Amino acid sequence: MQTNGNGSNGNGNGNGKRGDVILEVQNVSRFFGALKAINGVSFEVKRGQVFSIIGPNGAGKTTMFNVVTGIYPASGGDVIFEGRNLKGLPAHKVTELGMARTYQIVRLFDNMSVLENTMVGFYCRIKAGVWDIILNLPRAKNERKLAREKSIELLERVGLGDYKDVLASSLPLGLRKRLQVARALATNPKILLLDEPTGGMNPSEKADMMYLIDRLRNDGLTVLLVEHDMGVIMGISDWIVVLDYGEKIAEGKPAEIQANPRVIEAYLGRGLENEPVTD
Amino acid sequence: MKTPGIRAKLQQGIDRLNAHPVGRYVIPAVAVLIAALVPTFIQSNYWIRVLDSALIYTMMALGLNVMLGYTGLLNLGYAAYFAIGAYMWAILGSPQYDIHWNFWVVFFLAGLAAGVAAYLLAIPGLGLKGDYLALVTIGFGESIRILANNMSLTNSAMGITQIDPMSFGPLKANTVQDYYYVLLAIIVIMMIVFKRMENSRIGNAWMAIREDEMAAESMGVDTRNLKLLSCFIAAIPAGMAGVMFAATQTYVSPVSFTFNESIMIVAMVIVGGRANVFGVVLGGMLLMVLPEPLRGSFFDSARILIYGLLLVLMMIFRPQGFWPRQYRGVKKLNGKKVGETIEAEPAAAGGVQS
Amino acid sequence: MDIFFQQVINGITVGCLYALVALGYSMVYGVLKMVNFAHGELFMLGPMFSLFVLQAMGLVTGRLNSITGNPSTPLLVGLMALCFLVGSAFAALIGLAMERVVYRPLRNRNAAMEISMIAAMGVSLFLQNAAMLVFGRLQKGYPTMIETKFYTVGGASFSNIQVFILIFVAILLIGLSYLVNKTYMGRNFRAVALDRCASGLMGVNVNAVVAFVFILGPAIGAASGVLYAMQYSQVYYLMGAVVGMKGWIAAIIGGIGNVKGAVVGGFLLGLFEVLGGGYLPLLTGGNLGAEYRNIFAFVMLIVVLLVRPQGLFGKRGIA
Repeated sequence: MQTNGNGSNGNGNGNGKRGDVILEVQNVSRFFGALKAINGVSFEVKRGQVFSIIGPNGAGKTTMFNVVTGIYPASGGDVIFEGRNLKGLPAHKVTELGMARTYQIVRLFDNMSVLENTMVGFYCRIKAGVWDIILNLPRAKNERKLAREKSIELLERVGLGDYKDVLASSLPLGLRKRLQVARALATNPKILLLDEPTGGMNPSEKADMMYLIDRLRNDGLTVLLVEHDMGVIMGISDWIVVLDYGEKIAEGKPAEIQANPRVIEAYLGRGLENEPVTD
Repeated sequence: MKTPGIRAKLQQGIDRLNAHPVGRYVIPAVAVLIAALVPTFIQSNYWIRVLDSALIYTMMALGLNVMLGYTGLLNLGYAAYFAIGAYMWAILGSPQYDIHWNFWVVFFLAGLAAGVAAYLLAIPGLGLKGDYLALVTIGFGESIRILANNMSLTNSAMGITQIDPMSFGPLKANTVQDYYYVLLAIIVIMMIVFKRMENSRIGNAWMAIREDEMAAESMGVDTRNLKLLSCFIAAIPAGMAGVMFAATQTYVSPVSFTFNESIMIVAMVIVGGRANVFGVVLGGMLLMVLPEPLRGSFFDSARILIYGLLLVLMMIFRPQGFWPRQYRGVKKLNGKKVGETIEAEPAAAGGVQS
Repeated sequence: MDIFFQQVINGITVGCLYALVALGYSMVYGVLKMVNFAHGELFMLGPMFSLFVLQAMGLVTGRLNSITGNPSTPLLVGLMALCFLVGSAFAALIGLAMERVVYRPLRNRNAAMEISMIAAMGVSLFLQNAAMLVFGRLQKGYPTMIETKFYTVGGASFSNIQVFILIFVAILLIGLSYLVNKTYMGRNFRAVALDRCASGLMGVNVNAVVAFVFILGPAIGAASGVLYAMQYSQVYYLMGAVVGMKGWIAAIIGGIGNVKGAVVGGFLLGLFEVLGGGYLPLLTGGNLGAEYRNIFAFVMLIVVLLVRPQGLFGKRGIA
């Protein structure tokens, strides 16, 4: 069983070096009937980056996540992860390859404990089979013990150590979001996709989350982030892509994006001091 | 500061016992011992026969629990697998076709056959939502019954009689007590096996699927194959129970495998406490043994009515069953005291759209 | 060819009855997103209760429970109307009670689907057994009201009762269609069926719509039951079980929650079942007889679920 809680070994998880391209989205489109949720978007994510996708509501950010992780197939284009085309792969296989995600509206396993939730992440990393389990063979026993220890470690890293036996449904929102992250980390991902991880949080919780993401980056994990809070995005991102109506309208470092007039317009519409709307 | 009451002290004592590596086995061992001693204290053959029947159905409740309790897949045609097992032994171990195979060979074969049938039915059924799946299982259950009722292979409605009893080589079982001990042993083995599965990565993944299938899939759980596995394993005890049933009754006919039987087994799991082998066994034994004293009285004809009432009341007031999966030592936030145990509720409807 | 024509008529007649039952299921599912498994029992309680009333009024005699004396046609018509009214009213009452006592608490708790299903099964078993205890375990004769006459057209024979059923159901469906499409309540019903939450937010009284559905659905189902009882001249406490199941299957085939679909599904199921059951001995050289008829419903169901799970008229996104 792979032993890293988050794939860290300083220079970006094993195979590649920090700075290599880990994920390529090539001209990806996703249509729902006549609705072009995503239309020909391309970008590259480098290993060890905190890469943010932003845009107004309905821009297609969550759809992008769903396509990249294999929940929806792409209507056009390719997603290449560590050199491998993900076309046609079911979502669990994508996760097995090293891509984990969290959901904007938290999807936890409510009637299981926090620890059990986290241990689900280890499912694809353990090899014990049905017979190993039934006969309680050493392999099953040891792997389970190891998975349990690693899960507890992970929970402590995200600050949920005290809550390990608590029923997940009884956690408040901030902790639920953290549990989602812990659970995703349990799959030993090389890239972590976080869908609005600070949604609904107060400033101090947001700061905690930002600190967590920063620590993950230091450990060598690549983070792909969808976010709404500008403060969070500008504070933590290495690179930003801006979507609007399913298309990429800008890309660059935080400072560049902040100053980009097209981006401002997409978010705020045309301001009063600009030309009046004529069309 | 309030001193904890008797109940809390008892709970703490039990928790400490269960936490000890050897102590964990004390309570179950005592329970098994008591169960094994039952025939020496209860001399009535009638009651042992009742217990035999109860144990056979409890086998099935344990099996259905895998599918319904752990994985959350509702099966309303579970009696079909029971029928498959029963008819296998009726055909392969009786004068009907003058075939007399070895009992235990058929026992395991029937389990396998039932499992395969469930697996094949699940393949198309997987994409369906909960209530559609339930309907397909009803259809399958009914179809098996109709087939049994009409095929000459199964001697249609007349059934097959003079079925061989259970045997160990040359030794044949000929008392209800013989069956009791064997059935008890089977139940204990099954409980151990299922408990191990429950606490393993597979059980964990099953429960994740039950809670939120899409999230489970995102976490690397191969939901499709795990659901198939769940259906396969769930049906095996039913096939085996069918063989036992045929042997103890020495007669099988389609009337034993109706929709009402399927519902009853579902009730055992739900009322007893799902995803908890102990609760399920409790449910099974209760639902089979409790109606016995009422047999012959007015209440007997009202049995199904009471059943229905029980189901409705349980669903409204205690949907998690009498003895659901416990989380020992769980602290619940916002108000409850440390150490207070809470029980897992069945999942709420809805779930979020992605 | 005449056999074919005959079977078609039989199929359509049976299909009518299935259609009415399917409507009840579809309407409830459309509004509550749950399967009312006890609907079949409402189908049964219509004729059961109306028979009970007839017996209490001393209007039936003999083992077959035929109408006493030889009343004139207008009186017979009046009696028939009485049966329908009384049966439907009783079923509607039970339906409302069911909703209030069992389904509403579950709905308020946002209970999981299986919980509602199992509760519905509990209600179904309860009603079945209660009917057995109250009305007796055996089959009872049911008066056919109209003196049965057979007509022969082109080699196929059918009864005036069948004609009556067809006309009755046609009128009922037209009335229902008007109700659903042209009235205020009907519009509310359609809104709630599309999106319960949003409708509530827009000011629709959801509980009123639910009550509406639990009156109309059972009433129609009970009417179908009375027709069935008249057609086959008997009632039986278990008669709801099989027909209920088939009605549910018909609703799924047509697209659950869809009123038009329920009707079409009912007819298709009736036709397929009768034709299939009729031709099965011919096709299999006598190996499989007409007793296998009931499997047809399930075969159709499995085919539909595999090929088009949302049913004929349903929208995508079901499975």
